[in-house]
Amino acid sequence: MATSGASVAEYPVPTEMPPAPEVEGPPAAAGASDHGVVLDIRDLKTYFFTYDGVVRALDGVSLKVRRGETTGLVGETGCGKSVTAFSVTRIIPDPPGRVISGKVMFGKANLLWDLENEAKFIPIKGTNRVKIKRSFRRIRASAERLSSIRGKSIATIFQEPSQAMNPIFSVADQLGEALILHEGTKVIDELLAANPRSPDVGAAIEALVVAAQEGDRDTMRAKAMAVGAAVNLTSFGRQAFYIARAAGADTESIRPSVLRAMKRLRLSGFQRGYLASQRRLIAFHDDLNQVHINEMVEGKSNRAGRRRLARRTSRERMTRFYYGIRGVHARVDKPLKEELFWRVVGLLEGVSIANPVQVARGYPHELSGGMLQRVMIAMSLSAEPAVLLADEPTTALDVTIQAQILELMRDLKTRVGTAIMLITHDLAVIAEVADRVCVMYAGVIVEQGPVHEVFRRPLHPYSQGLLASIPRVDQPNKELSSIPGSVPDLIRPPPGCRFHPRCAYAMPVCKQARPPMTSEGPEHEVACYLYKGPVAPE
Amino acid sequence: MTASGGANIPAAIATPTRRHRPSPRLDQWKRTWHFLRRNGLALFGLAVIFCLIGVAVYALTTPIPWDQLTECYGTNNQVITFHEIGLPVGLAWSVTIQNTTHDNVGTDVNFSLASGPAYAYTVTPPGGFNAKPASGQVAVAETPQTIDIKFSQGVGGVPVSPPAVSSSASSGPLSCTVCTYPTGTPSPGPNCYATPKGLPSLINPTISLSPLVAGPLPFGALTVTPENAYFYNLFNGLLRGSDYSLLISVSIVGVGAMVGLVVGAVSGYWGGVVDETLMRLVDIFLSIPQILFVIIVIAVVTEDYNTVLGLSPLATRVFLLIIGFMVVWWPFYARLVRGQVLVVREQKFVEAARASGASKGRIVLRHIIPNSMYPIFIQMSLDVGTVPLLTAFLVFLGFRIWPYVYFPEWGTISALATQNVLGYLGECATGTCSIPWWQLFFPGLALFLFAISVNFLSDGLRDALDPRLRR
Repeated sequence: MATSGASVAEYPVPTEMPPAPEVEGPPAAAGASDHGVVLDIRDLKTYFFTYDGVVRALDGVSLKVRRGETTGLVGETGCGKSVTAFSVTRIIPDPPGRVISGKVMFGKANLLWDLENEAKFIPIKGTNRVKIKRSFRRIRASAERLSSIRGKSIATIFQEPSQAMNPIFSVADQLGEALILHEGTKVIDELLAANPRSPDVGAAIEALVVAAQEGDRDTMRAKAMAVGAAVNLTSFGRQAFYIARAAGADTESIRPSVLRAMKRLRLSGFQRGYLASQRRLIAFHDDLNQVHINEMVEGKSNRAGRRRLARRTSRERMTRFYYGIRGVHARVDKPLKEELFWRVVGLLEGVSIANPVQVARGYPHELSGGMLQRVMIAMSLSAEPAVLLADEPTTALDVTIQAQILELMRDLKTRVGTAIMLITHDLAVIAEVADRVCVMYAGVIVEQGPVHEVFRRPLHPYSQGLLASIPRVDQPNKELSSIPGSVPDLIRPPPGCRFHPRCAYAMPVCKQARPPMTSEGPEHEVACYLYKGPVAPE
Repeated sequence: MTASGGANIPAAIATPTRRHRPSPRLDQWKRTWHFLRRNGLALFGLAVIFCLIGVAVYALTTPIPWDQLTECYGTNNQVITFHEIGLPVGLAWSVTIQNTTHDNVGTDVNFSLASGPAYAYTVTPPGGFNAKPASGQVAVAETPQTIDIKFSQGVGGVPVSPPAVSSSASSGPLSCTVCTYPTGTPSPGPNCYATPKGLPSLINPTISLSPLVAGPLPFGALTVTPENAYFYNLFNGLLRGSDYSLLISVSIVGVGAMVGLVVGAVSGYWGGVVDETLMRLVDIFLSIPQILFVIIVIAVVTEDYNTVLGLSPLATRVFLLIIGFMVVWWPFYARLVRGQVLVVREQKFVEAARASGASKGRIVLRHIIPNSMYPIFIQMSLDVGTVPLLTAFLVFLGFRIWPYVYFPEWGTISALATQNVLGYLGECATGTCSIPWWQLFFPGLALFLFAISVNFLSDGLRDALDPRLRR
């Protein structure tokens, strides 16, 4: 995002947009163009069935997330921002929560396909309660389908990084697990293709030693990477660099250290057999994921295909188990573990961690919050997902770390092209990184549009209230305004517009019917009776 | 490396040399050992456990050197009756067993034989008669036996039916008298219950086995009530018993914890119907009275089968004891684990694992179970010391694992010793006496050492394995 210096707006607005291919398909209702939409949420409803009654946490949310864009989701606590994100990949605890209806189009796949068959809602006579009759087979099938999307295509970052990591495994273990889960075949293929007996290695190591004697970090890295290129494994180049860096002034120790480290690439036949078995297992898993995705694209269950693959998977698992048991003494999994470690180091370099080797070796409780959040981001981006759901990623961090994390996310957005859905109640964060913003209130979206439009000209009274309640340093004597009242009880939400009890401009019509989404400018939509109604797009 | 400007700071600390190892250090065991090594108590526990394992292996691999040190005489000699059928009145016949011949005229012949071995016998019929069976073997059990001998006249006489062995179950209690004689001398009589000889260098074989002698050494034999009929050489018994004690404790607790871990984790994580079903199952198993259940299992099975799975009779009973305790042991662990899993599964990292596409099995194996293990470690280490006390409790209830068989297990020994000591207390109420305290003290010490070592070790292991507690 370094190129945005030319047009300095009131809020930093990204100038470069992702390439906009003309996409065929139905034109959007409100005239917003459909280019680059990766995630299209339509009329999503998520309810929580509690003892007190049905909590209508999401009541018809529609929004689009575009490739290479950051879509901000703002609102007070309890407005359903996180529920929206969790409903997309359906990691809402069930019971009590359940996605009732709606569509989540991820590319061509409808993630909520088969939703209506998963559970039937039978009203209990004489009460306002319902009985949920679940079909566990279908729920299990849909959970399996979704787990092929989760992490790999749609990643999630959580608010509390320290709690979002398993405390008893090291960072390398956990990131390595994510890597093997999503990129396993690639990792193993590259490891098997490495050639430690390459004739170029000697010369490359000599060049590295010379570079280390000169002491120039960048040359050293380039030469180390050349060592990696010589053995045909990038991660080994990284390892060579860290060996050279750790050697410091003792440059003579680099040569034997690198040669010793190269032992991990000399795989025995048995180790190769184990790795091949592991690779077949992962490949089966990838096939299974593809079957799941095809099911969601075609809207048709392919139970036979799933079963067949699952059988093959379990057979291969037995083979790998055999290799593991037979090879316990030989530590057959060691080469893969070390390879994963150095790949993890590479991932950590990607999120600008200065000492990635120590961090990878460390445990979550040994790292600071900002560091952990970077680790989480590295983990989320290890599979280069199409969508990143960031649920308040900076709330628990202090301001400087916040800025670094946001910078990192913005950088990744442009580099990888990931679409980011950023959930926060911090409007400054939204202004900083978001391209589009959706304002949520009590389970519905009340206003959405480009961030500069919404911030400069907030239309909905709720958006206006939110923006007015930001403390401003340039107006020190101004009384801090706030929106009177609080978010309503979503079990019995107010009829009509849900904001009307707190709205200064409430009209009689507001109590009767929910206001429709109306277009008020380029891609700027608002659900409020104050505005005249649907207008044709230019 | 230059000295820094700061006062009183050693140069090595003040100027860090950037020489960290760039290798990944992935080896969990090395790391665990690194942290365990700093924990003195855990090392102590480890050393004691290694010693015990060594002793147990010795006890398992070395055959018991039987030696006849003590004898019991009494009504454990069983009466064998040879009952004649078909002999005219007034004719004399005789039966010979091991060079002893008993004659009789017209009526039955009785022998009083020590139970245990099988004896060969020969029947000498009166002239002109044939006896069926004319010779055979009789295995002397713990009940009196009657063997029918049918006589027939001449060749081709009255057809005979096959001999029937009938027994009646009217055996009185064994009563033993203790007779002491030094090793090496021949046994004064054939009816001997032997105790195993001790390690030559460790016990003094000339120590009197009389219960009234209170010696300063713990190596004297433990004599309990006459019904026990066995005399435990205390030190030897403790050595010999280490394998049984370790095997019983570790297998019961280990298997119980494993099953409980799986059941608890599945129940806690899956929830719903699975949880309800498993937990009601756990309730059912919890409602079984433990000791009674084990007694019933052993009694019922050994009623019909003296051996199972090709094990020896003693091993069969130990096996049944272990199985019985396993059945009633796992529910406690299942409860414990389930509670822990309910806490762990609500934590964010489980949700994060779910959000990154991990399957249910992977979440349970990688995230839930490793985080729920720590209370189990503690419970296991406490239980390992409890199991021998339960076998002791079985003996208190009067249930011997196999009566009249030398079974040196720490719990059994300490229970017998307690009975003995209590008997002395009764005597002490009336006059002067000395209580053989060592009989109770040393089995107790063995149990205590075992339990405390396991406790120290498991505590140390827990600290070394949990990265949050490492410093």
